[in-house]
Amino acid sequence: MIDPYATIEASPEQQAAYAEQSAETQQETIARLAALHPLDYDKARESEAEKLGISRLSTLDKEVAKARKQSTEDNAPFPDIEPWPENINPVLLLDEISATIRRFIAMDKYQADIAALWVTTCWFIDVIHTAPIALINAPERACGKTQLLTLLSKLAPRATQLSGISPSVLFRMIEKYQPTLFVDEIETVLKDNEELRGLFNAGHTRDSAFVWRVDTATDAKAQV
Amino acid sequence: MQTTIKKPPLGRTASENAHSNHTRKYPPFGKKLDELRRKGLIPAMRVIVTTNWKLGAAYPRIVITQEQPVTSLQFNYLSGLHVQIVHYDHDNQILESLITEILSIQPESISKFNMNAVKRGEPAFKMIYSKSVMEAA
Repeated sequence: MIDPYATIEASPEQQAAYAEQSAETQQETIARLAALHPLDYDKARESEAEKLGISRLSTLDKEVAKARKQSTEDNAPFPDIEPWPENINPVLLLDEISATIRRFIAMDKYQADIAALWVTTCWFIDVIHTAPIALINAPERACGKTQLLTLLSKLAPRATQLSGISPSVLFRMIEKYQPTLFVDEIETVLKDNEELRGLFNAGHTRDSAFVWRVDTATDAKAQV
Repeated sequence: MQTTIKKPPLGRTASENAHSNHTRKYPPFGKKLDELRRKGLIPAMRVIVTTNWKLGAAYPRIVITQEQPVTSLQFNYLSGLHVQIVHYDHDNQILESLITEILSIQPESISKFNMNAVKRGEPAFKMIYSKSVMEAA
């Protein structure tokens, strides 16, 4: 099957037409230049500086270098999910998620429905007061618990699977990305780790879902 | 084949576009095409602009949904490309503004293809504008 998005290089005329119509702001231009391969940037810098009205190339180089550094820092390990452009039927969506879960995991329909509701709730984290914690349990080993956890992590926003993590790394991750955490073998992860246990236990309600940070320079406290 | 060549309205200047590009939204798949253009790439095939999710799936495409008025959508990534609008009779109400919007960003060519006309056995394809034909003339 032919890939509809197979690409070729744009001709200089096509790129010029695109640039003319794109109407980039100065910041957008710098962000675009920062994303270029250094060799491509070297080829483009003179003409781009001219378009921006910058007489000294070193000024543009500095701005691009700054943007490159910022872009690396901001580079989130999660894809940017675009909302579906049309209204959807929630009942059909939930049924589809539930059916998808049962396609891969042997479980009762009501269990799959609960899993579908839980994973859907994860997408509303900004507007709900209490985020339920899903505990995947089974009467014996090799029942597919990890399989279900992996499957749900494919459906949740900013899903992060953990098998071991320090409280400080977890704290920074929550602060920066607000991930949906999927922890396999949680009993071993939380064993003798009261700090982590505290974070997990308290983090599912809006009232307690913050941690204190202390700025050592000013001794100021801030909630996150 | 019926062919009508129109001269496009003058493209917007960068300053005229500056505000609108910030408020305009991408139609579905528009962002994907814009990301390609930012990398200096273009689709190997013509881009299909359609109002129906079932049409043009084998091509690079954008889908015009009823939720967003055509004038609030961003089309700059189509500039310099061959564009074909694939539509039904009932899309006629938005067709004119869609063509105007796409012409304003100066595509290489723009044509339309009426799916209902095919069923009626009438000519379905119509070239609206072609830069190369214009230049040759």
